[in-house]
Amino acid sequence: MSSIPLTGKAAIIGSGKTALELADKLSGSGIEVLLLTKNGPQNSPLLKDYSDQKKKGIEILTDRTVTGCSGETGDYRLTLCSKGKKTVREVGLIIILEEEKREPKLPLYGLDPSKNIIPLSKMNKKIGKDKSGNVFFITGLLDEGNPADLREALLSSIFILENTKKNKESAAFILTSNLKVAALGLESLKTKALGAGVQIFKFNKTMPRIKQRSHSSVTINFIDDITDSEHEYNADLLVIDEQVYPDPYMDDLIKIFGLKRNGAGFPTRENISRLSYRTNRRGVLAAGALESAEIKALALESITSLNPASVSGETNDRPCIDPKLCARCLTCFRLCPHQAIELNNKLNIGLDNKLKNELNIANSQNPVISPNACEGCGICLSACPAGAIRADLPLIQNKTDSVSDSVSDRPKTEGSDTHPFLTVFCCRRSAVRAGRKALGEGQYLPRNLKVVEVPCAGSIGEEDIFKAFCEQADGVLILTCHEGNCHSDQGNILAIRRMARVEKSLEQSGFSEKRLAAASLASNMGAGFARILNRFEKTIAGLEPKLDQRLDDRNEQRPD
Amino acid sequence: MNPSDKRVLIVGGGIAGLSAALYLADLKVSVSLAERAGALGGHAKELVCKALDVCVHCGACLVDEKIERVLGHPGIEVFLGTDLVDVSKEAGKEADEPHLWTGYYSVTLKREGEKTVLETEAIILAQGFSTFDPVKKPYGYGLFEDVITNLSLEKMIGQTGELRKPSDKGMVKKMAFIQCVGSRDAGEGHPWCSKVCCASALRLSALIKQMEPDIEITIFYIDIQNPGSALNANYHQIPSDLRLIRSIPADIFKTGDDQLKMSYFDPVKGEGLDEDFDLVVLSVGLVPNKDAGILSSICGVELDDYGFIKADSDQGIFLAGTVSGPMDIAESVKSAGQAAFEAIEYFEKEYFEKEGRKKSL
Repeated sequence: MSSIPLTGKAAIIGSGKTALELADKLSGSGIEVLLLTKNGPQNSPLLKDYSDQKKKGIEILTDRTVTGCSGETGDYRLTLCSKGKKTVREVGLIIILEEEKREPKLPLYGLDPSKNIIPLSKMNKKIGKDKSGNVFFITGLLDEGNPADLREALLSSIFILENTKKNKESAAFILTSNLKVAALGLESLKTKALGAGVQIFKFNKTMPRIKQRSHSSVTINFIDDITDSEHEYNADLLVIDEQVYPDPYMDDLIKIFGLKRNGAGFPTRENISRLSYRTNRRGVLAAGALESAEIKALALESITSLNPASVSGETNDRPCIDPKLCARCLTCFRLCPHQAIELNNKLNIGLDNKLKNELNIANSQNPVISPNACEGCGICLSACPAGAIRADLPLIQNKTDSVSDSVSDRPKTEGSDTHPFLTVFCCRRSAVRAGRKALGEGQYLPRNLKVVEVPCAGSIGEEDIFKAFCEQADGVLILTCHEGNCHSDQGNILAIRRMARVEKSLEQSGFSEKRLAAASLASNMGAGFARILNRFEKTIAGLEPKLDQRLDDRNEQRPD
Repeated sequence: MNPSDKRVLIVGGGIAGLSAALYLADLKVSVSLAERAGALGGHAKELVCKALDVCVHCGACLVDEKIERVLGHPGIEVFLGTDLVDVSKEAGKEADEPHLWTGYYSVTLKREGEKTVLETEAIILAQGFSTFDPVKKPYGYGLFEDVITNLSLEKMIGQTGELRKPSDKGMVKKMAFIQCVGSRDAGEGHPWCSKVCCASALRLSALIKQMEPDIEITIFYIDIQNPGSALNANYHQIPSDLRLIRSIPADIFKTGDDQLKMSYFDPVKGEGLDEDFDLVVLSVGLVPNKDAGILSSICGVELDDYGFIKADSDQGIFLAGTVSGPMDIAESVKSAGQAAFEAIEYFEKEYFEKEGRKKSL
């Protein structure tokens, strides 16, 4: 684009309609596109006019599988394999658009494959025109359906009734448990279908019985939910919905790129911080089949990813691994949620030869933090058993001796007898924001509160918690994002695990494990923040013993 | 070519407007964001976090993050308490390579009587939705204090952390949700599904159950729509003792001792019933912004068959969020991405037509 600086190529993995439309959009924006597909040119009819694409700045490589990936956003090196031969291509951005696999839900309905049972995606106008008799569409009957499937069923059933051959009687039925009309125009389409004579049955009380008598005969028995009348039909054609799941190649890609999956096995998680189409790895986007409007949104995300300012991220200070201390246990490599730690001997270039010889690291694989991939969560820092990771990030630096200015403006307490000293570790994304909201709303908060801001709860180490107790805290509270909402995917879970270990130590030392607790919240929970803190203060105030031996020290230090 | 020569005006500072502003400003396009209210955030700012312990992916918490980023962004100029009063298309500047774009908008904004005029290449409308006014329904809304909308419920829980009867601040022992109020309603001229209310009611029910374990909750519905993703719904958090009745109640009236009595047809029992509730929540539909007519005449855009605004991409006017139709937060963010892309495509097209000609030579 003339006015928007972009660097690097975009690699699209896939060859379906969505992949090609996106390639078009990106090349139209001046981005060079590399389209990689494991299919041969003959399997992808849309790739036929290859020469046309070439002119537009889209390079199409067929029969290519991605077998490896190194580097970081803006600077990826993809290893491609074609008929045994390997090549490496450099790209700035990777977009995974591998097609989903679809299987008709035959097992769910207890059916065997048969000539007159077809999956919904195979339903087409020709079949609709030729078929006569009873056509049954089953969508979202025994499990949840979706608007796209319902649209297909409605359009097909309307078509069947409007186009049946003369002298042949047709009837169209849709069987479902909930009509999924939550998409543009579907409610009107449903009304149109009913007007055309499509019979729609919704089931809640009882489920239809679908029986296969012989190889081509299917009967359907059901009781109408509303009228309680019994119906029996012979289905001349049964159109059933499909299960969608990732192709095995997708599984490979997920492993190669180090991506996290959602519940259905796809690489875009439903994590809110991954809107739209982002994955846990910067510079890698993923999506399934998309509508044109959504493809534009994906194109925008692609442009954003290729923008140099976006490549280098928000801050320039990144944690780095001291090779002199690094034991190469690879804990950081395993824990990094963003695949920002590379095993590299290339990046030892900065070390002088004397040091390399001394440490015998010239040819070994050392973990190195990729500056543009790192998101500064600090998980590696607290996980490193050798303390080899340092950061100049202010939040991590001051973790155990910061006092948040924003919480010093507290409303006066009312009627509480004791005000135990509380140290609260607050995740910057959720807890700190909720705390600010609580203050803005004038919520009542505990009086003796020390807030320690951390980039992610996963950066809180056991030593940080112990240090908090050593520095006057009667109670230590860890506030994290809700499970499933952590920007670092599992930072909250790591924090809870570490907390559990410290709890054990506390117990063994004769302190109540109730002095250490954790809670999750979201950034918009101002009232929630106050509620959690006040409840914790109450709990701590009610605990015995009151750490008498340190009372004298504390009296000296406590501000009046 | 100085990137900030290009300016986009975004009208509306809700989740869609904020997202579009950030997408464009991060790409060094200059952004002016005008919001009518005194603060950014729109409807989504009033929504409460519905996680029990596990996030339910509603996206409500995104709003604050985006507001923070927008207010701190050097490339976004924010106008609060500001209305759009006039839009006029101006003829082009001198065409000089490669800046071939020759037209722009002269936009008048008004704040407390004072007018500001901006020049902008493209406009993104993101004024959001209005809610259906349930006074038209026989549920006693406006008459009975304990008949409220789902948005009021969210506000109550968000601000007080408690669920109480608005009439006497008493405990709620039995409550009901009535779905599809003003949606899927051809009679009202609203033949559409508002998409977000089923997920909202189910999640709110789970949250309320956690707050008040002994409360009895009933949901009156037509069909249950999927929360979020088009794939298999994520219902594991829904309390098993939630009563789901596939029937829309006929009316609500007050009994002698001031209880709310609801009449409905029970499809399981096959008969009409009356039942008392302490609180009734109406899940009101998302309808076209009440100023859609005014907007359409100011910007010269049309309304669609349902009364929502239509984009005019040829003229550089694009839409983000619920101003174009009902959608949830995730979809609003996506549509903001779409609008940002369309805006860029639009003011870059002359440049690329030229580049395209160069390439094929």
